[in-house]
Amino acid sequence: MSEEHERVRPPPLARRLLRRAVGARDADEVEGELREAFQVRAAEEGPDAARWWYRRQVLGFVLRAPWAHRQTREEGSMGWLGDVGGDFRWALRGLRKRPTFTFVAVATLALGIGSNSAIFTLVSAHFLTPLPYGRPGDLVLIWEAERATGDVMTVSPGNYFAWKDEAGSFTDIAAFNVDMATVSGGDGAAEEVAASVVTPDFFQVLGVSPELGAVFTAETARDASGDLVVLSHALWTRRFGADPSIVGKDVRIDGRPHTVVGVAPAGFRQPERRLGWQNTQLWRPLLLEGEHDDFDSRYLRTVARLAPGASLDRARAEMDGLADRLTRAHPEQNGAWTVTVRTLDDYLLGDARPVLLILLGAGATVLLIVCANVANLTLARGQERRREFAVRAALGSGGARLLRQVIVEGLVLGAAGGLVGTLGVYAARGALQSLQARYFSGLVDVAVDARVVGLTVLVALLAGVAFALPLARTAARSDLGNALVEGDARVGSGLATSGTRNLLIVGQIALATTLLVVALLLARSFDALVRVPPGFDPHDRITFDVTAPRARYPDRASLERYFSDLWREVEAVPGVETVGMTSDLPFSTENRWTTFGVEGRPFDEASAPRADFHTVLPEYFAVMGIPVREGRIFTEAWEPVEDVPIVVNERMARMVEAEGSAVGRVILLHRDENTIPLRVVGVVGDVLDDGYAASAEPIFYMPYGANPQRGMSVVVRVRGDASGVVDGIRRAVARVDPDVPAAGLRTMDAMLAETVARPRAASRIGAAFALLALLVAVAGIYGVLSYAVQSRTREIGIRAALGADAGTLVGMVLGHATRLVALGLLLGLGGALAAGAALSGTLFGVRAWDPVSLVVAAALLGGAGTLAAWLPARRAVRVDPKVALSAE
Amino acid sequence: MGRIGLGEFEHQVLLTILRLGGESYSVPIVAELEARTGREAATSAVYIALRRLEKKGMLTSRLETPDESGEPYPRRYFAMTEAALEPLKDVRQAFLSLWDGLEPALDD
Repeated sequence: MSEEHERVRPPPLARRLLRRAVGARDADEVEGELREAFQVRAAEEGPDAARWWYRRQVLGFVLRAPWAHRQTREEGSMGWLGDVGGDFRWALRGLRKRPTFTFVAVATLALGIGSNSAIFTLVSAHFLTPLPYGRPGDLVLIWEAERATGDVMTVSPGNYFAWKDEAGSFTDIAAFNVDMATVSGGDGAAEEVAASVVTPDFFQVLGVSPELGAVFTAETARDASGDLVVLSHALWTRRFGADPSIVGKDVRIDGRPHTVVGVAPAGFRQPERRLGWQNTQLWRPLLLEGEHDDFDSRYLRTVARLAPGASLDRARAEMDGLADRLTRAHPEQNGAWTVTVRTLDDYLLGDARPVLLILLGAGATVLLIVCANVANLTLARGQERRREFAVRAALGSGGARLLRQVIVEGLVLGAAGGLVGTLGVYAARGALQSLQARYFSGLVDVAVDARVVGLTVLVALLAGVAFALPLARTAARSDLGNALVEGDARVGSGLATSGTRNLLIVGQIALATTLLVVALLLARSFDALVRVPPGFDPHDRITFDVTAPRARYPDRASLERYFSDLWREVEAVPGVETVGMTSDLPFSTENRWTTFGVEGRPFDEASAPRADFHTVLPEYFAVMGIPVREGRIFTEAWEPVEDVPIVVNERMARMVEAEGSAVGRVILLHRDENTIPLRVVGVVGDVLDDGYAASAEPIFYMPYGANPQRGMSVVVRVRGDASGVVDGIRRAVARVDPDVPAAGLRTMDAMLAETVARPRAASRIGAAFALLALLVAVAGIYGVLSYAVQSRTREIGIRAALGADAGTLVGMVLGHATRLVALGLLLGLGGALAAGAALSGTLFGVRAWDPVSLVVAAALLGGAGTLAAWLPARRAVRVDPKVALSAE
Repeated sequence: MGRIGLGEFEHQVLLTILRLGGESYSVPIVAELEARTGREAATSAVYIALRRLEKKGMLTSRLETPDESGEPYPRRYFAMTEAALEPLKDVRQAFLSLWDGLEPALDD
C-alpha cells in the first residue's frame, strides 16, 4: 500500500458505530478486516467512494444484528442495539397478535395515567409554577384586622399612607381596588370588563414591566385627572388588534375618553383571589387626593414588596408596632384595628392545596386499580403464553432474558397508555384551564409542560413494570418444559389456581370501595354545607358595593344625600322591586363588632359580651327576606336620632331578653366616657354572617342615621331576568355620581356559590374518580371471571351432563367470586374508615365513619361485583353440555 | 432426515472459499464474490453466512492474533470441512437437473 493511501482513514463516526453494533468480542476482528477492504477500495476508487462504501457496510452490520444468534447462551458482549431492539420487536409482534387484549389494556392504562396526568397539570400549576410577578416570593398583602378576632378588613387611606411613609421592611407599598368598567371603541360592541384602580407604583411593586409604553406616574395621573389607562394584553389583542401604536390613543371607558399609556405583558394577572377579578382587563390611576387623613373608609387593598434582607417575621413585627402607634394616634378610628401581613402566594393559592392533595390521592388510587386490572388481564393470558415462553426457552433464552422481555412488553404497553393518556389531557387542556379558573385559581395557566409530561412518562413506565411483574415471575420459572408437553395450555387455569389473580381482584375491590366511600363523604359534606339555611333568600337578588369618597362627601349631610339619591335612582330602574342597603353583607366575613352592656345588668369590660353590628336601611330586611320574629323594624332611615332604635337577631335576643322578650330592652355601648343607649324595637331571624360553616353570631342592626357609613352594600330584589336589570343599575349608579361605580356587581346566588367553590370542586371531581374506579374495577372482575369461567367450560359441561342443575352450576362459579368481592369490601371499608379519619378536618355535617356512605358504597360495589361475576357464569351454563365437552 | 440445507448465498460463499483454496478470511472472500457475481456484496451478509456455515459444521474457523498475522488486528480464517462436500454436490446436482435443457431458451 502506498504511503498516501495509508493515510486515508475510515470515517470515525461510522467506525465507532460499527464497534458498538458488533459488540466488544468481535469488534477488533471485524473492524480490522473492514479497514483492510477499505484501504483497497480507497486505492482503487478514491477516498470518497471508499468512505461511502464503508458507511454502507456499517449500516449493513447495524441492521442485520446477526450477532444475536451467536450470543444465545454465551455471556456476552452483545451490542445493546440489537438486544433491546430484539426485545422491542418481539413485544410489538406479540401485542399485534392479540389486538383485543392490547386495545383493552392500552385504553384502561390511558384512562388511569391520563387522569393522573390531568391532576399533575393542576398540581404543577399550584405547587410548582411561580406566580406571574417579579420575584413573587417577596410579595405580601397587608390588611387591617380586628384586634379581638383577627378578621381581616380592607385598608383605610390614612393607614395606607402612614404605612407607606413609615414602614421600613418594604421597598414600597401599592394600593388598589377592583370594579367593573365598560369599554367601547375598537372591535365589537361595548363590553363590561373587570377593571382595577391602582396607585402609580402598583406595577413596579409587582415587578412587572409593561410590554408596550409605560405606566402612569403620580404627576401624569393628576394632570390627566385620572383619565389614563393601562390595557391588558388580552384586551389589547382582542379589541384593538394588537395595534403597536395604541400608546397615546384614546379609548372610551365608562363613556369617558382615557389615554392609553401602556399595555401589560401577556400572562399578567391581577393578584386577586376572587375568580372574576383575576382577569382584570384594564388599570386606571387611583387618585387618593385629600384622603391622607381618612382613617374611617376601609376600602383599599394593598400589596407590598419586602425590602432586600427583610424577613417576613421582621416585617410583621414592624407592622404590629406601627399599628399600635396608629391606634394611639387615632384612637377612635383605629382603636379596634391592627395589621396582618400575609404572603401573596399563601393568600392566593394556599386554600386550594388541601383539595389538590385529596385529588392526588384519588388519582393514585385509580391508577393502582388500573394496574391491578391490566395485570390481571395479562395473567389471564399468561397460561396461553406458557407455551410461547417454553419455545423461546428451548431456543436459548434464559430465565433472565424472558423476564426482561416481559418487562419490555409491559413498558411498551405502559408507554402506549401514557401516550394516549397524555394526548387526551392535551386535547382537554382548555377544559382543565376553566376547571382551574372556576374552582382553584386562574392566576397560573395550566399547561401540559415538560414537567407534567416527564412525570407522566415516569408513571407510565412504573405502571408498565408493575403490571408486568406478576407475569414476569411466571415466565422466569423453570417448569416450562411441562408446557410443551401439555396439549391444552388452558387446562388447570381456573379460578382457584391463581393466588396472584385473586389477590389482584381483592385489591381492586378494596381500593375502589375506599375511593367510593371518600367520594360519598365529600359529596354528603358538600350537600350538608349548602343545605344550611343562610337565613335570607339569595334568589333573584343582585348586590353591589359603593364607597362615597371623603373628598366629595366630607360630612354626614352629604353622605345621606348621596345614599338617598342612590336609593331613589336604583329603585326607579325597570325590573327592580325593592332596594335595601347594609354596611355589611352576610357571608362577607368583614364584620364590625363591639362589646355591649345591658341596662339593669352589671357591666365588666373584660367579660362583656360581643355582637356584630350593621348599619342598614329599614327596607333591608324585606329585601333580604329576613323574617321578623317579634316587634317591628325601625322606620327611621336617614335622620339622626336621639333614642336609637335597633333590631337584634334571635341569637342576641336570647342574650338580652328579660321575662321572655327582648323588645324594649336597652343595650348600652360604652365609648370612652360616654354611654350610648340603644333600644331594641324588634327581633329578626338569624343570618349566617360568616359563611355556611360558621354558626350565627349575635347581631344588631342600626338605622343609617344613627351610624352613617361611607361604604355600603346595596341589595336589589329584581323581577324577571337579572341580567337585563344589571345595565340599568349600573347606569343609575353612574347618574348619581359618575365617579363612584357599582363595584362587585353580581347576583347573590353567585356570591354564595363562590364561597363554596372548592368544596364543590372536591365533591365533583372526587365523584368522577370514584365512578372511574368503580367502572374499571367492575370491568376487571368481569373480564377475568369471564375468561376463567370460559376455561372451566369443560368441567361445567361434565357436571351438567351428570345432572347438576343450572342453579348449582352458577352457584359454584359465583361462590368463589363473591367470596373475593366480600373480602375486598371488608378491606376497603377498613381503608375507608382510615381515609375518613384523615379527612375529618375537611368534612362538614357528616361523620368520618358516616354509616350511609359506608352502606351505599358496599352495596354499589358488592352489587356491581356480583353482577359482573354472575353474567359470565350464566352464559357458561347455557352452553349445551355436548358442545362443552368437545370444546378444547 | 440427515441432510443439511444450504441457502443460495451460503452456496455462493462456499464456492468462493473453494476457489480461494479452501481457506480464507473475509476480505478476499468478499472481493472474489463481487468479482465473480458482478454485484456488490454486503460484508455483513458474508459474515452472517460464514457464521451460519460454521454452525452447520461446513466450515471451521481459527483466529490469527496480531502477533501471528503481522497485521495490527486479528484475522479469522474460515476453512471448508469434509461435511460441506455432500451438500455442495447435492445442490449442484439439483441445479444441473433443473437447468437441463433450458439453456437454449435463455440464450439471447
